[in-house]
Amino acid sequence: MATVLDPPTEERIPVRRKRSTTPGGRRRHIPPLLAISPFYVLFAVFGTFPVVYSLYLSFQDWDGIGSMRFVGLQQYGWLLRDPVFWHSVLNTFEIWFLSTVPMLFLALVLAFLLHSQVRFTGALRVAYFIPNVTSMVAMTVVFGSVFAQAGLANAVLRAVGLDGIGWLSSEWGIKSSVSLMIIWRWVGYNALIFLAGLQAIPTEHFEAARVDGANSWQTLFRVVLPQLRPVVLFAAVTSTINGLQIFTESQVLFQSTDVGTTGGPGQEGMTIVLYLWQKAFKEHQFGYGAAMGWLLFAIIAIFTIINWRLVSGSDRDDDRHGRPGLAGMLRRKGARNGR
Amino acid sequence: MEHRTMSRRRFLGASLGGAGVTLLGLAGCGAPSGSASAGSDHLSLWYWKGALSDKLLATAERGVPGVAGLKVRGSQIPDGDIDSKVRTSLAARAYVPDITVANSDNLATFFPDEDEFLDLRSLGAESVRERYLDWKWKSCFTPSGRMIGFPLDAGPTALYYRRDLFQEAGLAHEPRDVAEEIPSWERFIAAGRTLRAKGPGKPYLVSNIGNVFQQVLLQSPRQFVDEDNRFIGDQRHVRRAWDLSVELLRQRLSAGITDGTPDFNAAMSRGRVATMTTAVWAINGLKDSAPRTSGRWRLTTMPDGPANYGGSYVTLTRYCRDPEAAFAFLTWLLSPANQLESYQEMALFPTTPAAYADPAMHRPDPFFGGQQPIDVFGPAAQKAPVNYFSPYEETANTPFFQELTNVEMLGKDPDRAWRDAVNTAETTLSRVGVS
Amino acid sequence: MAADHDRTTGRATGSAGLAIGSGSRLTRIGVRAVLLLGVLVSLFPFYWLVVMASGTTEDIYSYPPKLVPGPHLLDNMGRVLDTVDFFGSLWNTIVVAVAGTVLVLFFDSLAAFAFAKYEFPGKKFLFGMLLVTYMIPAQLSLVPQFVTMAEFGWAGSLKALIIPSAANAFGIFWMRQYAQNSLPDELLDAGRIDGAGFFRLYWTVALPLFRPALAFLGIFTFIGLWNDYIWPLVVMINPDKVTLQVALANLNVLYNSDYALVMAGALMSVVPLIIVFLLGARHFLRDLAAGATKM
Repeated sequence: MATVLDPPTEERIPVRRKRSTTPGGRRRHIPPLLAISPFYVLFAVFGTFPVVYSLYLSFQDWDGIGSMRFVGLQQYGWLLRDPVFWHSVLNTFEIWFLSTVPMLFLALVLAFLLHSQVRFTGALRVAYFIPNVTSMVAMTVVFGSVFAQAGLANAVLRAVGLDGIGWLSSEWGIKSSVSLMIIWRWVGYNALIFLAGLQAIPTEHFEAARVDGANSWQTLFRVVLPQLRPVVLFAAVTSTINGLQIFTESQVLFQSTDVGTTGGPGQEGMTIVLYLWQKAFKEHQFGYGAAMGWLLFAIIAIFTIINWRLVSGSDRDDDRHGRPGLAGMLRRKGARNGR
Repeated sequence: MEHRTMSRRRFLGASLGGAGVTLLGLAGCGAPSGSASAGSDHLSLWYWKGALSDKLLATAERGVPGVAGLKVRGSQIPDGDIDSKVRTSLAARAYVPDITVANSDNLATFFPDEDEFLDLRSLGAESVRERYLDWKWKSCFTPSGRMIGFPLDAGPTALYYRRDLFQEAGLAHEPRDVAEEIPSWERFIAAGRTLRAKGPGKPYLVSNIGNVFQQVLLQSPRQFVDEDNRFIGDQRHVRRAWDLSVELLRQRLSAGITDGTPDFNAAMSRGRVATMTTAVWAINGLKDSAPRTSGRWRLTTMPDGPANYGGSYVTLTRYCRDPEAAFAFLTWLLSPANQLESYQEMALFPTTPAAYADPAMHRPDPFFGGQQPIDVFGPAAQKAPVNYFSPYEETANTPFFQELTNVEMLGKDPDRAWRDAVNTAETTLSRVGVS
Repeated sequence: MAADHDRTTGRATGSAGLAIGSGSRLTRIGVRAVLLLGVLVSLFPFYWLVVMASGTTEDIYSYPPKLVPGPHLLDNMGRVLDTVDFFGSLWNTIVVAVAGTVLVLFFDSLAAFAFAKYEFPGKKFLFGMLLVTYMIPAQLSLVPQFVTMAEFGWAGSLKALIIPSAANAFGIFWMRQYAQNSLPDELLDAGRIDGAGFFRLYWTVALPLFRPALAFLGIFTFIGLWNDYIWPLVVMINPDKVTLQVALANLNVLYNSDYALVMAGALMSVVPLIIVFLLGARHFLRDLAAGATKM
C-alpha cells in the first residue's frame, strides 16, 4: 500500500512544456477533467456514499423491511461481545496463515525452478496460471467432492493404508481444505510474479557477486533474496488483504448443508465476510452487517499500516526495485473485489 | 409504507449530492411494480424442490384450470434460502414473488412483518375453511389475527428402517413388530446397539444425532420460545432431547454425516445407516439418494409416538399483482383432489382430511416392499402434537443444533456445549427482545 | 552453465548466481520433474472435474475411485440444460463481462490519458484520491451498496453488476503508467499542430498505442467480472435472472443428491472462460510479468 502513495513517483514526472505556452485559459482544462470524471462520479455514488451510509446504518436496528430503529453504538457493543464474530476473526486469521505461508514458499521455489528452465516456459506459465482464472465457485464444488468423507482425498489415503480424515467435519480438516484451495489457486500466480522479479535483477549484480568470489548460496542470500524482498513483501500484503476477505470457498463448501451450520461443523470455516453476509443477507440484520463491515475495515486498516511500515523501509533502499509488484498487487486486489 | 420509501430516497438524494441526484434521476423511481412477474402474463411463485407437485405446476404454467387467463410460473429456490430470498426481495421492494411457499417454522418468522403479506380472509378464505385440518388452519394466523398462510401439506413422521439389516441383526423386522419392540427412544438406542454388534457391516443407527434431537423436540408441544415471548430452551423438554441425542453418540450409533451431503447419499446407498426418523416428505429424497436400496425400507411408528415435522404454507405477498386470481390458484392447487395428486407424486401429505379415505392414498409402495405408507403416516397425522412456533424460534434453536454438531463432529464436551448453546441463545435473543 | 540461460528478455543471465538449475544433468532432470509435478497438481482438478462430469453420481463415491472419464458427459450436460437456464445465465454473464470490460477500457484509458499527458487543477489531489480508494474493502459497503441498488430500482438488474464497476482505480493507474512510458509527446504535438483536440488525440493517437495495455486490462477485467460471486449473489434478487456463478451455486444446493449433474454444470461454467484465457494468455502473462517489474 505504501508505495501507492509514495510521492517520488509523482515528482519524477517532468512538467509538461505545453503548460505555460498553450493559450485558451481555463477552458483547456475542461476536456481532461471530463475525461477523468466518470471514475469520480461512479466512485462518489457507489464507493463513497455507501461507506458513509454504512456508518449511518450501523447505528440502526433494521431488517430492511420494517422501519429503522436508532440504537446508537449498540450494534458495535453486541458485536464485540459476539463469540461467533470473534470465532470468525480467529478462523480467518488461521486460514490466512495456513494458506499464505506455504503458498508464498511454494511460489518462491517454483519461481526459482522456472527461472532455471529454458524450454516450455510459455506452456508452463499458462498451466500454472490457469487455477487463478478459474471460477472459485466451480472449483470449490470440485474440491468439496474431493474432500468429502467418501471422496478422492480419503480414497487416496485409504489406498496407501491410512485412515480417512474428516476433511469437512473436523476443525483442522476444514481449515486445511479451505487453505489448500487458496494455495492451489494462488501459488502459480505468485510464482509468476516472483519469476518476473527474478528476471528483473540486473546481470551486473551477479557479476559483482562473482567478482567478490561469492558462491551460489551466498549469491542467493546476498543478491537474489534482498532484491526480491519487495516483491515478496508485496505478495504478502496482497495475500493478507485478500485472505482477510475469504468468502466463496467457505460459503460454497458448506452451502448445501443446513442453514444452522453455515461455515461447517463448529463453524470452523466461518470467515468474517461469510458471517457478515450471513447476518446481513440471511438474517437481515442490516445494522449488524454494517457494523461488522466497519470492524472488518478496521482490521484490514491495521494490517495495512503494519505492512506499510514494513514495506516502505525497503522501498527507500532501492527505488527501482522498490516498486516491483505494485501492479501485481493492485491487480490481485482488483481481481478479488471484482467490481 | 410510502412515507418511508420517500424519506429513504430523500436521504439518499441529499447525501449523494449533485452527481448522485443525476444518477438517481436517471434510475427513475425503481421498478414500477415490486412484483417479480411485473410486465408478464403470469403470476410468479417461489418454492423449493419437492414443496409442490411438478405436474400441477406444469399445468398452472399453461393455464390454471377454472380461472380464465391465469398462468402461474414457479421458480425453484434452494430450501434453506427461500425465507431469506423473500426477505431480500421485500427489502428491495423489487422482484417480490406474487405467491411464495413458507416452511412450518418459517411462517412465524414473517409475523413481525405481517403487513408484507395479504390477509387471506379478505379474499374469502373462510369459505373453504372446512376442507382443511383444524390445527393447520389455526396455525396460519399471526397473533394479531391476520391470516398470512394457506395450508399446503402436513409432515407426519415415522421411523424409516432397513428391514433387511434389522432382520440380519436378529431384530424384530416387520413394521408392527418393530413398533412393538421399539416403543421408546431408549429401546431405539438398544436396537441400535444390536445393529452395530450383529448387523451386516455394523451399520449405524442414524446418520447424525441432530435428527433425533429434532424429532424428540417436535414430540413436545413446546419448543424454544413460548407464547409469552420467553426463552424456554433451557428447560426439561429440550434437555431430554439433548441427552437422548448425546446418548446415541456415546453408544457410537451415529454415522456423524450431515444430511444432504454427498457423504449422506453414499452412506444411504451403501446401507451404512439403518434408520431415519423423519417426515413423510422425505420419501422422495430418500428414493433419489439411494435408489439401489428400493424394497428394503419399511415404515413404522416413531419411538415415543409421532410428530409433525415441517409441512408448509403458501402466502401471497402485498406485491401480488392479482390477489383474487392468486387466491383462486391456491384453492385449486390445494383442493382435496389436487392434494391427493400431490401425495401420490411428491409424498406431500394432504391437509384436507377428505383425501385420506380415497383409495389412491392407499396404494402400496414398492420402495417400501409393498407397504402402504399411509398406514403409518395417516395415524401419525392425527396423533402428532401441535407445536407452538415463535417468530424467534430459529434464532433460539440454531445454537443448539450447532452445538450438537460440535459435540458430534468435533468431540466437544456435551455439558459445555449445552451451556454454550444456552448462553448463545440467550445473548442472541436478548437483541430481539426475548428474555 | 546456467549463465547460458540467456532469456529473450536479455536480462535473465543472472540465474548464474542461483544454486538451483546450475550443475549436473541429474539436477536438471530433478528440476523438470518438480515443475511437471506442479503442472499436474495445477491441472488435476480440471481433469477430475471432467471425470466426475462424465460419470454417474455413484461412480463419484465408489471405492476404489474411477480415475478415467466415463461415457455420460453428454447425458449429464443435457440434464443441466433441462434443469437450469444455463444459456440464460451464460448470456447474463457474457453481457456483464463484455459491457463491463468495454466500459472499463474506455473510461480507464480516457482518464489515464488525461492523467499522463495533461495538467489540470487538482490533478495531484485527484490522483492521490484514486489510489486511496484501494484502501476500502468492497465488503465494508456490501449492505449499503445493496440498499442503494434497491433504492435505484437496480436490484435484480444487470445494471447493478455493470455500472458500479464501469471504471476502476487499478485500470486508470495501470494505463497511466503505460501511457507515460509508451506515448511520445512528439506524436501528440504533431496531432495538435493538425488541430486535433483532446478527445480526437485520445481516439486517433493514444488509443491505438494503448492496445497492448488494453488487451491485458481487458482480459483481467473480463475474468474478474465473470468470476465475481458475492456481489451477484447479493444483488441479483430475481431467481430467474442470475449469473453463471450464482446459477452454479444454486445448482449445487438444489441437486446435491445428483453430483454428476452438478459437476457437469461446473464444467460447463468453467470452459468458456478458460477458452477466453487461453486465447489471450500469451499477452496476458507477458504483461502481468511486465506490470510486476517495470512499472
